[in-house]
Amino acid sequence: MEINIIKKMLLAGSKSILENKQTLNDMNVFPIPDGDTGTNMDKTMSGIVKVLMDIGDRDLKPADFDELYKSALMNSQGNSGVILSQWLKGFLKALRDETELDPGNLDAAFISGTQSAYSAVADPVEGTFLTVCREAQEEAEDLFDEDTTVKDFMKNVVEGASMSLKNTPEKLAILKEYDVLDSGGMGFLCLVTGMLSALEEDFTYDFSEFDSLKPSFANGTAAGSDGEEFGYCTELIVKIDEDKLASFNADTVRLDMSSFGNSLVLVQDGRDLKIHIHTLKPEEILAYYHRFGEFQKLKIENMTLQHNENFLTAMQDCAIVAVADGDGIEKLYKSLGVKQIVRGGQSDNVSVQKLLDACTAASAKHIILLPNNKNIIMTAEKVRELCTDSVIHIVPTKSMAEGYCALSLIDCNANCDVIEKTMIESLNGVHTGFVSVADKTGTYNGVEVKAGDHIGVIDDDIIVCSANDPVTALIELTKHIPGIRDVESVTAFASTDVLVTHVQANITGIKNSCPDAEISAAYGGQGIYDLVVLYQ
Amino acid sequence: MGTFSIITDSTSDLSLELREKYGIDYCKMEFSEGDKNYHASLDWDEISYKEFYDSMRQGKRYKTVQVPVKTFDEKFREHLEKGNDILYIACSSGLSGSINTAKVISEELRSSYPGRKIICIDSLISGMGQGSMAIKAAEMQQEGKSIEETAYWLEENKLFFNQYGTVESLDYLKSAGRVTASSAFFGNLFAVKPILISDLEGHNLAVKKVKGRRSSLEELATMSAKYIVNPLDQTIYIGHADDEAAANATAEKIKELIPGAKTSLYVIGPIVGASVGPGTVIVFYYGKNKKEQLDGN
Repeated sequence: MEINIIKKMLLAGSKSILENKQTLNDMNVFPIPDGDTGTNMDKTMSGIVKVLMDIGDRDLKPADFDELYKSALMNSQGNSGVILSQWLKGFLKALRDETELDPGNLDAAFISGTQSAYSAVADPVEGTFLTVCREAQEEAEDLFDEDTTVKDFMKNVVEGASMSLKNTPEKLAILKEYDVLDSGGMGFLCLVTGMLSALEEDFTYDFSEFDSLKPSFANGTAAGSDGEEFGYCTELIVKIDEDKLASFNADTVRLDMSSFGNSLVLVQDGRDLKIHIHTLKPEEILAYYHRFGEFQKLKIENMTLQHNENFLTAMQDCAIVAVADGDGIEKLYKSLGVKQIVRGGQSDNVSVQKLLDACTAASAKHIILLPNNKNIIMTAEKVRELCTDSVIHIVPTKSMAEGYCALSLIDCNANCDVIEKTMIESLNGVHTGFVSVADKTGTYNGVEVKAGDHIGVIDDDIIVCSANDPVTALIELTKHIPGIRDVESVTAFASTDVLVTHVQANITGIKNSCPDAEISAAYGGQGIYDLVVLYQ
Repeated sequence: MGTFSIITDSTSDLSLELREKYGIDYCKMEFSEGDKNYHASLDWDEISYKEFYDSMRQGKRYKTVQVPVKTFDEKFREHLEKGNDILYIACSSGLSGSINTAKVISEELRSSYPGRKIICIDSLISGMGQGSMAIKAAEMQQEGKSIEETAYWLEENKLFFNQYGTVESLDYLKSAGRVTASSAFFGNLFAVKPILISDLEGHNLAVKKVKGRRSSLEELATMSAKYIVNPLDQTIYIGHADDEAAANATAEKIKELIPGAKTSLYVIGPIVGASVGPGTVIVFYYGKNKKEQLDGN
C-alpha cells in the first residue's frame, strides 16, 4: 500500500474525533474534570487537517511528516491535546522515510507513538490514553502473522483499544467512582476507528464536510456501547504443566474464550499464564484451564454487585439514619450523606418499629440517629435498647433544622466518634424558630392570638408573636431570638415553593435584626409548620 | 555567559509591581465566556476585575485554558534569544496541565538552542504560593545562586508553601472540577463555608466546614498562625476575589494572633478567580510541610 494512504487515515481519524467531541468532553473526569478532552484532542487534529489541506492531492514527502507533527503540536491545547500530539510525533517520525505502508512498519509506528506519548508525561498514570494506545498496539502485535494485512492490523488495533478502554476503570479509581471510561483513551479509540474506516473502498477523501459535521456519537464500534455486560470478573494465574506446554496454543485458547465471555486479557510468559475475562459462567472457565495445569491464583468477583455498590455502602462502619418531615428535607438530608430516612415528625409521629427497621436496613456497625423532633427522642431511645445489630448513637436534634445543622458540618466518611462529636458541637448555641397557624384563640405567654393567625414559636413551644401572614411572623419572630445580633446565618425551610419566594423577597426585613447574617430559604415540604428556621 | 530568566504563569497572581521589582515574566493562560476570549492578564487589561467578578455574581461562568503551546514557544524563545536560560515555575499539576506542555516545548526547543537550560518546576500550588516561589527564586538569583541551585532549593522546599482559603460558594470549584471532597461533603449547604488547603499533589482539598462567613475568615487566620514558620521574616499574602473587607478582617485577625506580622492584600487573578468564584479569600504563607497540615486536619 502506498504511504499516501496515511493522509486519508489521518483525515478520517480527525473526523472521528470531531464527531465525538461532545461525548469525549462529557466523559472527562481525569486529571481535571473540566470537560474539555474532546475539544483539546480536536484542536490537535485540526493542526493535522490544516497541513493535509495544504498538501492536497500531491504525494507525501518526508518533510510533510515533520510539518504534520509541528502543526499538531502548535495547535494542541490542554493535557489530552498535548499527549495526543506526542503520540502523533512518534507515529509520524517512524513513517517519515517510508514509501510503502505495510503491517510491519505500521506496527513500528504504533510502538513509536506509544513511547513518545509516555515520555511526554512526567508521571505516567495507567487507565488513561497512555494505557489504551499501548495495549491496542500490543494486542495487534499479538495477533500479527504473515497473512496480516494493513487493514487486519488496524482492525486488531481497534479491537485492542476497545478492550483496553473497557478496562480503564479497573486501573484508575476515579473513573470507577464516576462510572465512566477514560475520555482520552476513548479519544484514541475514535482516532484509530477513523483510521480504519479510511481503508474501506468507499472512503472519500475530502474536507468539505469537516467543519459542518455535528458532534454526535456516531461510531457504533465505540466501547461500552455494546450493551451486554457479563456477570463475573474472573482472573486466574495458571502454571502450565511441563508436558502440556507444547500443546498449549494461546491463539486457539483466545478463540475458544470468545464464546465464554468478553474483555479477555490473556498473557503467557513461558509456563505462566494469566487470564482475565468477564463471564457469566466462571465455573466453565475454571474447568477449561484446569486441564492445562494448577491454579496459582484465583479471583472471581460479581460485577453486578460491584456496580450497585455506591460509596455510602462502603461506609459500613457508620451510617446515619434520620427522621424527615417533608420531601424537600428528605432530599437535603440525602445529599448530605444520610443513608436511611424515616418519614414523619410533628404531624405524624414515628413508631419504634419503623425506626428500628430503618436502622436494620442501614446495616452498619454504628448508627447515628437524628430524631429531629422532641417527641421522637424518646422513640429513638427505645430503638437504641432494642437494636441488636448496631450500636445506636442518638444526637438529640429537636427540629429538622437542627438535623440539617448537625449534618452540615460533618464529613460522612469520617469515623463515628468524629461525626458524633462534630454534630453535638455544631448544635451549641443554635435556635430553631417555627411559624404555624394558630388553631385556637387565646393569650399565650402574654401574646394575644386569634385562631387562624400565624404564630412564631421559639425552641420550647414559647409563642412570641402573632401576625397575619407567615413572613411577617418570621420577621417578628427573628427579633425574639436570643443573641440575634451575633447570628451569622438564618436558614428558613418553607412548606411550599411559593413561601420560599416570599421569604427571599423579604430578606431585608429579617436582616434588620441580624445585619451580618447570610439569609437563605429552601423548600422543606414539611407538614404543620409553614416555616422552620435555623438561627446560628 | 547568560543568566537565567524566571518565568511563571497566570495563576501566580504576581502584580506588575512585584514582577518589575523581581524581574519575573509570565506566560498567559486564557479564559473565555461564550464566544468571547480573553488573555489571562494579571494586570486586568482586557477586563477589569470589578467587571469580571460582578459578572460572575450575575451568573456568568468563565472557562479557563492552560498556557497555549504557542505562548510557551514564543515566550521561551524570547528569553533564549536574549541568551538566558529559563526557570519556569508552573501552576500546580493538580490544577493545570501547563507544566506538561511546557516540558514538551522545552524538549522541542533544546534542538534549536543546544546546551541551553530550561528547567520546569511543578509548584504544586497556585496563587501567591506559586508567586512567592518565583520571588524566592529571584532573591536567590540576586544572591548569586545558579539556576540549578535555585531549582534544587525550590524542589526541596515547595511543600512548605501553604495556603488556607475559604470560598463563598463551592459551586464554582465544583463546576471547574478543581476541588477534592466527597459529594456528600458538598451536599446542599446554606451559609456553611468550606476551608480549603492544597494537598501533596497540589489539589485543592476541602478539609472542613465552618458555620458562617465571619467564622470561616477567623478559621483562616487561626490555622495560618498555627502552621506558619518564622512568621516575622516573611510577607503573608492575602488574596481576595473582590472582597477587600473580608481580606482586611482576615489580616486584622492574623495581626492579632501574630503581633508584628507583615500582610499584603491583593486581588486574585482571573484564572484562579474563575475557579474559586467571587468572595473567595486565601491566605498564603511559608510554613510547616503540607503533610503536617494534612495530618492535622
